[in-house]
Parts: sequence; structure tokens; C-alpha cells
Amino acid sequence: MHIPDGSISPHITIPAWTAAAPLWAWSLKRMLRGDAVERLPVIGSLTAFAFVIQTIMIPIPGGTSAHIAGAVLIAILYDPLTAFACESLVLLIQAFVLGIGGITVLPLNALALGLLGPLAGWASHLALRNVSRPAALFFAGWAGMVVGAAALGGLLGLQHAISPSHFPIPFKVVFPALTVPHLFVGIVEGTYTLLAYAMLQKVLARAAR
Amino acid sequence: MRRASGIRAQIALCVYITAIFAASWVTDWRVIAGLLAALLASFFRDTKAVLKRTFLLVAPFVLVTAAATMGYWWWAEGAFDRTEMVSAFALRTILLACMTFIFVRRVDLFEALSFSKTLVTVLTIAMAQIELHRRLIHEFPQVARSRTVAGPGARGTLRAASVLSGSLLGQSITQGKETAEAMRSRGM
Repeated sequence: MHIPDGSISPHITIPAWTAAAPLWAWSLKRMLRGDAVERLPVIGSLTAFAFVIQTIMIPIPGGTSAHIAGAVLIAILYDPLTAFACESLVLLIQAFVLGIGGITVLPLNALALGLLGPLAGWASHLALRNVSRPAALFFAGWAGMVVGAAALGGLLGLQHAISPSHFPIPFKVVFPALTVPHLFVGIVEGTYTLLAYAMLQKVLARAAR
Repeated sequence: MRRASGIRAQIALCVYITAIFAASWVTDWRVIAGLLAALLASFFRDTKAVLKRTFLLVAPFVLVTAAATMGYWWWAEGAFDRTEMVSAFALRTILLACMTFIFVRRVDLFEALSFSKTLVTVLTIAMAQIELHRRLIHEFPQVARSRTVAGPGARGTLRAASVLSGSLLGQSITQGKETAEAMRSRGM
């Protein structure tokens, strides 16, 4: 569900770069704070994990497919800024290696999928974890996916309003087209967040023994 | 083909970023088509490989989006009068993808990003681990199939996917810590 290069005009991409650059600088600086030798490999490994997890396609009716993002899980395990750093690196690798997304739209995809989505998931997990841990994990995954997709849908709609030559589909079509399928893909993301978290606890408990 | 490295790679990165932003301003499909033709002619040695990669990775998405857009406008207005707009969108997306693939073929990416040592360190670790994880991803479905006679159902597939992702995440954290120890033992 990335926005591809060429569909967003510099009216939006330049302000997005201006907004994302300080956040990237902050997250890079944060990686070096304290024990960088301890932190950098973990960030690199989590980036690799998020990249690989996004290559697992889930078939959905109609002959198309969706993929889980995994960024909400990283936000819950670490924090939303770590998830933002990892997802930004994933998007950078995807842009250069696979031609998915792109460089002009990198901050838009990173802010929507790496920051807004994981932030929504992290916040809902924080709010619900005392009520029911499994429900909090599931809802966090679902909310992260839906918020990320809605943000991208909103951006594409805004692009159509500013310059239809860049994106020819209006908000009333693109927003539901992106958001509605992700209400269901979010169920898969929520289930994945719940199961992977439980699995990870077992793996870490076994490693600690 | 020798890739640009050192300061030349960083200059190439600046030129590439300026060029893609400039290209993303253009809205006339004829100008975009001309730019695409000029780009492919200028880098004729890369043309075959770049076009192959673009058609495999980017064109399917562009064609589906363009067809859906045409379908929508036909349904909404009963006419295909947005052809120029859709052509501009499709060609611009292909042009920017070609520019990126040519840049990656011609320039050493790690050298181009070497203005930030942190970024290059994290990227190097990530790229190395992606290769390791990919192998596991390819083997895992075969393992899941070999465990059942009729093949796994929806529940089994979901369970196998969660086991796979859980083990990938566990491995990521373990390997991250091992890399940290290796870096420390080398005096970093």
C-alpha cells in the first residue's frame, strides 16, 4: 500500500521531506545515544525483519494480495520512534532494490506507515493493555494498519485536489478504496501482532533459560 | 560496469535527487515521454536491464492503477476523456522508476550514503540479515507442506506464518546482539 514515485507532486513531497528530515535526524541521533554498538545491530536486524515480513503476501479475494507491516509490533516491543526508523530504512531499501514506493515519496510513506500507524497502534495498546492484553495487541495491529492506510488515502485525495494531473482519482474514490480493504487486512495484522508477540515471549523466555 | 564511488557517488546522489524532484513536477505526457526516451538513449547500455526490471516490478502496478482510473472515469462520466492525465501519471511513474534503477546500477549506494556512518552501518547489517531471512522464508512453506498430507488449511497457514514471523523476530534480536558482541570484540 505504498504511494509510488510520480503520483505526488513537489507541492506535497517537499513539505513532507522538511517535516520528516528532523525526525530522521533525531532517530539517527537517538540510535547513537548510550550504547550504539548494542543498539545499531538490533535496529539493523529489526529493519531486515520488517523488510522480510512485508514480502509475505496474503491472498485476498479478487486475485490480489496484501501484506502485513510488522511496524506496530516493533513500536510495542521498543517505541514508535524505533518503528519509524526501521520502517524508513525498509522503505529506502524497497525503493532502491525493488522499485516499490520511491525517493520523492519516501517521507510520506514513512510518516504514514512508520509513524502514524505504529503510533496509533502503540497508543491503543497502552490504553487497552490493562483491560485485556490479547485484545490490546490485536486492536493495536488492526488500528496501526487502518490508520496508515487512511493517512495514505487522505494524502492521495489531497494530491488530486491540488493537482489532478499527478493523481487522477478523487478523494471520494481513493480514500474508501484504500481504507475499506485494510479494515479486513487489519484483522490479519492484528492476529499477526498477537501471535508473533506471544511467540516472541516464548522464544525470549527459552533463550533466557 | 564500474560503479561511481567516493565523492563521485555523493555528487551522483545529489544529481539523482534533483533530477527526480524536477521530473515529478512535469505533467505533460509528451514531455515525460520525451524525457523517458532521452534517459534511455543516454544510458543505452543499461536500457535492456532497466526496462526489464521496470516492467517486472513497476509496470503491473501502473497498468492496474491506470486501468482502474480509466474504468472509474468511464463509469462516472461515460467517457475516456482523462487519457492524457492517466498517460502522464503512468509515464511519470515509469520514468522515475527507470531513473532510480539506472542510479542503482551506476552508483555504489553505500558510498553514496556514506555521509552518515550510522545509516551505512545499519543498512549493511540489514542487507546482510535480509539475505539470511529470505532463505528461511523460502524453506518455511516447504516445511509446512511436508508436515501434512493434504497441505495446510487457512488455520494451519496462519499458524505457520505466525511461527515463521515469531522465529524471524527472535532470530533478528539474537543476531543483532551477536553482531553487537562481534563489533565490540573488534574494538568498535
